[in-house]
Amino acid sequence: MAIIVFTNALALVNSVDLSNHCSKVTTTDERAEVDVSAMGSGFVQVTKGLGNAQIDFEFLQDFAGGSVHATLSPLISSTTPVPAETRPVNSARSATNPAILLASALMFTYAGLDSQVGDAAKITATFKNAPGGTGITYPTS
Amino acid sequence: MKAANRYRVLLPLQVDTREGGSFRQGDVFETDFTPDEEATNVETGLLEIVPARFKVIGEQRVAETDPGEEFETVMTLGQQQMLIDGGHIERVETPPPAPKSRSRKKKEEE
Repeated sequence: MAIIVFTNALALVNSVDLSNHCSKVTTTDERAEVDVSAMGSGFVQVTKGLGNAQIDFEFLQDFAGGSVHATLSPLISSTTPVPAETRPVNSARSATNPAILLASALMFTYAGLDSQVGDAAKITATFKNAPGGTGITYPTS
Repeated sequence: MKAANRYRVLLPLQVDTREGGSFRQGDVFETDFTPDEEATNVETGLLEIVPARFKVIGEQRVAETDPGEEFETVMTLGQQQMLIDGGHIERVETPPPAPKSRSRKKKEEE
């Protein structure tokens, strides 16, 4: 095992490898806290409720054919689930390079332009679990 | 280019397509489903999508395949269409399934 310096992560959206335009990725796999405290509890009793699975990508925008905008823009109006995946390193899945996978995802936020003068044109795309989806999984093969 | 898939009948039922074909368990056929129709038939377990070949024609890798190379995978019509519209892939045509299953209905009528 080794500490990772994040330089070559994988960013897959609908199977398209946009890693060479991705500058940041954030994955969220959480469960709501549900208070089930009752009389006689000495402490607040908390159990797990619904899960929230989300992957946020930050991309350097590119309007060239077959690049970032061409890949992402159709997804915002679509209700067809697509896979969204990231890996620590842009190489095959393995025990030390697991995928973080939203196998059935819908894109809910697409900021096509969000930059000030002089900045690199970076945009964000947020993917969440689609109906019937099973949240984030961590396959190693 | 329009997305298209071939399907295999999984359940012991007869499937009649709007093009006039008639297919039974194990048969493979191509038909013009909408993405919703496809999803319904796959989710119910009646049909499965047969893997198809695609060529990467854009500049980005797709399905871990370099530009110019081909790959074979199962993709829904919706996913396929977005990749085709985005200029990422094109479908590599393969010969249509054997016609015997298409004519089964006619044979039985005879």
